[in-house]
Amino acid sequence: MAILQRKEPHSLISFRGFGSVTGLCLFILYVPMLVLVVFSFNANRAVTVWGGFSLQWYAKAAYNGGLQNAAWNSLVVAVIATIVATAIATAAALATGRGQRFRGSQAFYMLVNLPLMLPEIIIAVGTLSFFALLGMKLSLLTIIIAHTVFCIPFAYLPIRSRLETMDARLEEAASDLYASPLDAYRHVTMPLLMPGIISGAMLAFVVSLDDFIITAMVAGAGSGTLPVYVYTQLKQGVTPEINAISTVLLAVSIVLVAASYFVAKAGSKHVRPATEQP
Amino acid sequence: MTIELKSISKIFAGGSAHPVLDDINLTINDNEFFTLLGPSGCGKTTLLRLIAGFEHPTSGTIELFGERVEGTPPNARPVNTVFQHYALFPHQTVAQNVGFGLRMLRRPAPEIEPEIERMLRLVRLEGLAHRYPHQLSGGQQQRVALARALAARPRVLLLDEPLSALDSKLRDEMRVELKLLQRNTGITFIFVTHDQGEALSMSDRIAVLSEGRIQQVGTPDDIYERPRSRFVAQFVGETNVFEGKLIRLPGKQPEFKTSSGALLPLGDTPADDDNPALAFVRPEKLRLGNPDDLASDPQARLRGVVTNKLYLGTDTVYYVDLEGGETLRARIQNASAIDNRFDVGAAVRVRAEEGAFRTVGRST
Ligand SMILES: Nc1ncnc2c1ncn2[C@@H]1O[C@H](COP(=O)(O)OP(=O)(O)OP(=O)(O)O)[C@@H](O)[C@H]1O
Ligand SMILES: [Mg+2]
Repeated sequence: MAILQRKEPHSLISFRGFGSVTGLCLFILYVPMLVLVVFSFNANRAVTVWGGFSLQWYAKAAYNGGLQNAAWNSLVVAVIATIVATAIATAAALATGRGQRFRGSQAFYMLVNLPLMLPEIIIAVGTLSFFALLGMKLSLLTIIIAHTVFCIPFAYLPIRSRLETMDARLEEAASDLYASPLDAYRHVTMPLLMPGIISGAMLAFVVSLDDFIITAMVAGAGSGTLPVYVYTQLKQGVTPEINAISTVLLAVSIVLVAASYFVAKAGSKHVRPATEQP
Repeated sequence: MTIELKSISKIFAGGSAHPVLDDINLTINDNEFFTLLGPSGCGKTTLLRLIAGFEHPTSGTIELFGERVEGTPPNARPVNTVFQHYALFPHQTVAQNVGFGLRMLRRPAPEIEPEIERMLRLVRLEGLAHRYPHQLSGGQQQRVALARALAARPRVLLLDEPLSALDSKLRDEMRVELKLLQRNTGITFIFVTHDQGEALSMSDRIAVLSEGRIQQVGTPDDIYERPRSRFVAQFVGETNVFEGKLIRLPGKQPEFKTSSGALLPLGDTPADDDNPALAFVRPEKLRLGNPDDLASDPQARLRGVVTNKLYLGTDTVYYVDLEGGETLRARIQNASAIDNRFDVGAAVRVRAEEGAFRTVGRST
C-alpha cells in the first residue's frame, strides 16, 4: 500500500500484478535467446540435453569453410551498405531538415520512411523482380544494392531527429563570423550532427547484418550471408554449432545497438546552448 | 558614413500582413554608438538581422560603407553580431568559440592565441578558456558571445540586448566597459535595448522604434528633453501627461489648458506644433513649496495637496492632486533635510522652471 500511495492514482504501474506481468513478458521475449546462448556452450551434441560446459562448437564453427565464407560476405555487404546508405541518408536529412523548404518535403519524408512499415517479404519479392527485369545476375553485388536501399531509412531516422534538435541559429552565427557555407558545414553542422550519423550507421550495420528475407531472395549461389547460411544449415537440424554462430551474431547486434544508443545520448548534451536567454 | 538604410520595409512571408518594419530611413555614422530603443516586438532584432544579412528587406536598400549589400552574404559583411540568444557553439570551448572568426579568416595560429587571451581578459573570463558553454552561467555566456564577436575586429558590431542576462552590478560595469571599448576601438556599435536607462547612458544617438516605425532619432538629450511624440515622452523616462489644448493670446506666453481647467505655463512651443493635444512635464523638473511662500511667484500657479509620498533615499517622489483633479508626480532631490518636509495631506504650490512644460501632438 505504501507504494500505491506514492504513485499517481490512475497510473498503470499502480495496478496490482503489474510487476509480475512485466516480468513474464520480458521472460517470454528473451527466453528463446537465452536457450540458444546456453546451449551454444553445451558439451553434448543433443541440442536439448545439457552435457556440461564447452567451447568446442565455437572452435568448430571457426574452422568451417562455408561459415567463414558466409561471415565474410556478411561483413562486406554490411560495411559497404552502411557507408553508402549513411551518406545518402545524411544528404537526405540535410536536404529535408535544413535550408529552404522545398515543395513536397513532407511527402519526401513519408516516402523515405515508408519501407520501414511495409512487409519485408513484399520488398524482397519486389527487389528480386526488379533485378530480374534488369537482367542482373544474382550475386554479392545484388545483395549489396538491396541492403544499401533498405538501410537508408534506418540510417535516416536518427540523423534527422538529431538535426531537428540542433539550433539552426548556430549556422547563422558561424556565417556571421566569416564562415563560408562549406566552413559552417564542416565546423558547426557536421560535428554537431555526428552522434546522429554514427548512431544511424550502427543501426544500418545491424539491420544489414541481421537481414534474412531480402538477402535470401537476392543472394546468388555461394554469396549467402550468415543468416542465410544458418537457415540452410537448419535443414539438417539445429546443431550446437548453429547456436554458437547465432550467439556471436546476437552479441555483435546487442553491442552495436547499445553503442548507438550511448553515442546518441552522449551527444545530446552538446546539442543546444546550455541556457537560453531568460 | 557607415550604414545607410533607405526606406526599408520588411514583411515576413507567412507572417502577418502588417509590416514588421515600415519605411525605415537611418544613417549611422562612423565610430558611432547608435542605439535602437523600443519595446519588445517592435522589430529591433529584425532590423539587426537585415544589417547582418540573415534577412532581406521586402523593399528598400541597405548600404554598408557606401556599397549596396543586397547580394552580399553574412560571411562577406564586415559586421559581427552579439546574438540575443548568444548562439555559442556548444561543441567548442570558450577559447575555440572566441577564436572562431579568426580561424575562418585563416589567420595563422600564433596570431590567434594572444588575441583570444586579450579578448578573454577584456570580458574577464581568463580562467574559463577551457570550459564548454553549457558549463557557464548566462552572464558568462553572454560575455563569451561579446568576446567572440569582437575578436575578429569587425567594422560594425551589432549587439542585441547584450546586457540583459547580467546582474545589475555587472551590468553597470559592462556599460562603462562597452562605452570605453567602443571609443577605443573606433568600431561602430549598433546596440539594441528596451532599457531606456541603458540607451540614455551609453549612446551617441538613439532611434526610438515602435511597431516597426522610427518615432524619433536624436541624441540622448534630444530624446529625453525634446520628445516629439507621446510615445517617446512616455517610453523614455518618467512623465506627467496632460490632455487639453494650447492657448495663444497675443502678447502673452502660450499656455496649455488641461481638460480639467488647470493652466500650465509653456515656454517656447515649436512653430510646427500649432495644435498640440498633450502637455507633459518630467517629475524632476518640479519643485514644491509652501502655498504662502510662493503666492506671488508667476512660475508657481498650480496648487494641490500631497496625497502620497515615496521616499527613495536620493529623492522623494510626491504625488500631488491638483485642484482640477489631475495627479502630478514631483521628484524632489533630498539635497538637505528640509527637502523632505511635506507630509501627506499638506497643501502645496508646484513650481516649474520656465520651459519645463512641453507639448506634443496627439497622433504622432
Ligand atoms: N521569421 C519571422 N516570421 C514571421 N514573423 C516574425 C519573424 N521574425 C520576427 N517576426 C515578428 O516580427 C516582430 C518583431 O520581431 P523582433 O524579433 O524584431 O522584435 P524585437 O524588437 O527584437 O523584440 P524583443 O525585444 O522581444 O527581442 C514580432 O512581431 C515577431 O513576431
Ligand atoms: Mg529581439
